[in-house]
Amino acid sequence: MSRRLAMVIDAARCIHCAACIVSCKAENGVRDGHSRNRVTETERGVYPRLTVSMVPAQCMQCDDAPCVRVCPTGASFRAASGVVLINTDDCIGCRYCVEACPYDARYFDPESGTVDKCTFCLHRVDAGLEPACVTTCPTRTRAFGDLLDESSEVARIVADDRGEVRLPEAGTHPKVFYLRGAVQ
Amino acid sequence: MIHEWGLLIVLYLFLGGLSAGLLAVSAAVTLFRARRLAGIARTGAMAAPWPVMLGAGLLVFDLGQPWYFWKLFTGLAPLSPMWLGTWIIALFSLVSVAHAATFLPAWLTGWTDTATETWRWRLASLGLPLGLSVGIYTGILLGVLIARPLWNTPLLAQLFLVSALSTACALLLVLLRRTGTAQERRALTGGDVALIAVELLVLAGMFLEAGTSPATSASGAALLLHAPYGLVFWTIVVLLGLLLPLVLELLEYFDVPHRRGWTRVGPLFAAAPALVLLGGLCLRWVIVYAGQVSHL
Repeated sequence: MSRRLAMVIDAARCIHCAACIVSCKAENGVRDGHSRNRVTETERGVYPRLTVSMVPAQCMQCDDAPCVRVCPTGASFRAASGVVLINTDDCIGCRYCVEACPYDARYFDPESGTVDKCTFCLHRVDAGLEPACVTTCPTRTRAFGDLLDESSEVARIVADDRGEVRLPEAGTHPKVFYLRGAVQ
Repeated sequence: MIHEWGLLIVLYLFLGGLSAGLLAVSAAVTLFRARRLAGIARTGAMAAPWPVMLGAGLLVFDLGQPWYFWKLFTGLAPLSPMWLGTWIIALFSLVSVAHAATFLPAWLTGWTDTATETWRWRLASLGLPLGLSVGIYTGILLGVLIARPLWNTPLLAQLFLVSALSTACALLLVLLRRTGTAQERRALTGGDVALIAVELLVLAGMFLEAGTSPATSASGAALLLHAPYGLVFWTIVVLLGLLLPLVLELLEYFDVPHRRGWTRVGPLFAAAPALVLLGGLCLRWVIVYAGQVSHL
């Protein structure tokens, strides 16, 4: 069954509690000192009229992924589900993909000698669950689903053009969308 | 992501460029039948294989999985510059060793003069394009990454190619300091002057391009205007590595120090090729390190 897994992030809901980061580390056994997702805080304005925006980010699961293009061994690939994965048996740890990612979504793990990143928790999704970050988020910042399933929330948001992608000028066609107007 | 690639990559790009330039210059001398510059062809050919082999060897140990480096050769990833570069450098290494062997004395090889000449010519015909390819490749490796605005310009490949040829001329000047003829040294000096001038033009082009491009490109180039990268870039790369050797080699080319009897500044003129080599190394350090800080 063909799928195009995607995520929509409503950044206005994020309170930077970091539960998504912790649950991801626990679910995927991410080693200390690394994380597959993050929240960036940006302050805007001048005191006393200040606002802080909190924007979660992770691998954008690009349809045209620079990391996959530059990988010299074919270890990085786009799976049938549209998710970008790394076959660690073929990863030689050259870190070219880390340099190539416009979203800084990949990291090198010196202990394993290979590169790691978000997998959309494909092992959970294949078992009928949602990714750990989606399930854990107490403010329901993330919506997850299949773009080919027209009844899914993500498909409706993307079809109505209510989602936007980061760095569209990079031409990477991400499948992590941000709800338009959520962050000023 | 900050500085995932470090000094070994810098050294590799420098040594790769050096080999590329040495083979290209040596092969060009053979192909253009410049017999009076035979010393350049010989020395260039003999020196060409080693820097890139050392660089590639160092690079293997920069990998997270050094013992699986052979996976570079067993996969098929024609869109990856690194995959293409691996094959080009492997081919370059084979050709440059074979090309060097045609300069070994006949008593050692037992080859006839005609056979040696023929094979030298054939291998030089392969060596010139291969040398230029390796020089360009070191720039393309970084240049294709849209994520790093400082690198993401076609001018980077040109910059690295010209710098590769210039550092090769400089190394040849060092190697031929005592054994070379005055004519060979003059040809190398003149060639290097032209290459440094072109390199300065390419650098100027990079700044012009960044200044007329989207803000992200400008922010990348701005890294070269401020400390710490700007400090190394302007003092070591531009001033000591390009402008000073340009002036010294230009004076040397027109024999000014000798005619004017500038005996006390002799060592300064002798140091010009070393400055070019230092500048070439620092150029790659600045580009590799500053480039990783630049982002969309």
